[in-house]
Amino acid sequence: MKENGLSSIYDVLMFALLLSVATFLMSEFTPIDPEIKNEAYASGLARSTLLAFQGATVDGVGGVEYEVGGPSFSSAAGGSTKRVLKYKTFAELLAEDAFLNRAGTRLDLEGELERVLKRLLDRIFGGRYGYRLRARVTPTDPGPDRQGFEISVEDLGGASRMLCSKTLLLPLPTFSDSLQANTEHGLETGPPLRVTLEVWSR
Amino acid sequence: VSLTTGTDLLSVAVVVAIFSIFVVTLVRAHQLYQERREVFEHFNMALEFAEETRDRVAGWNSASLKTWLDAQARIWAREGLSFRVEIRDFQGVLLFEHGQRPDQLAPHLSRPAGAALPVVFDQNGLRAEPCGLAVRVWRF
Repeated sequence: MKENGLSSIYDVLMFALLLSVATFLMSEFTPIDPEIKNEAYASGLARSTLLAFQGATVDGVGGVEYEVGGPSFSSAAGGSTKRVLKYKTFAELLAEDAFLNRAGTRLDLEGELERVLKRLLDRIFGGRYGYRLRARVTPTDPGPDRQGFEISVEDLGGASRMLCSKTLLLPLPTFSDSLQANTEHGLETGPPLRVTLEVWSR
Repeated sequence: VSLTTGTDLLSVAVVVAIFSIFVVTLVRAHQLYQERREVFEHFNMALEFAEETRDRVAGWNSASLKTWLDAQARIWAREGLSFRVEIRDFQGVLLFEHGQRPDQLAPHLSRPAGAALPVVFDQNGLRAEPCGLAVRVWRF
């Protein structure tokens, strides 16, 4: 092989190397990033889940049963205070629980509510993503009968990075004494129930 | 970088072979890139269409949903695209479907891309049940 031939081989090898680097860079920095796709999907999933909370009834995941004030309250009331709820939406139940807890009415609902929420979220996310759902009310006028409220359901096993977080604000009914005060100083609504859903990659 | 043509026959053959391999590799890389781009575009379309369908599912009966999907299918067909919509409950029972399954169609279709979202489906006006909405999109 003559010197010219060897030279051309080196040239072509150099050309091929540059071509490989260019191809690699092109494929790495394209807008077709699987992470972008993942985030877009997670975001759509979170939005749809929060919408489903507002429209879907708990009947689809077995309904909710609870006793107002617990078993001791039932015996004091002289009868069963058990309620079976099937046709309320998840959002209505969350709002009801938050409102009554803030008003100081002790409910035995949190456990049941957490159970149905977890069942729904497990079915939606199916182990593909991790999630954390928080519903909370931060009182603006803290007092003995104006407690905060928080409920949390999560499955973050193996979760590595938060893909998105979406928040839904639900209005709560106004307390009657607040309503009276409002009529004097103009109508003001109470703090809303803030439902935040985080979706995590696995 | 200057490319010189060698006088030696063997070196020319080696140069041509290496160059051919890299041209083939580049063409294949470009094909893969195009495929990925198409899947990504179809995924975006499927996700957007799934969100639009989700918004229309709530409060609609099956007949009006089907009419709307028929109209959408005609619009999509003009662009050479097709879709399939399925609504299943969480037990996997099929409650609603529209469009042909891609596996029942010709094998030379583009790879279908899909998105699945939770949706509230009120089949008979009695129960607003949480269900799964799946949309698959492909080019024919």
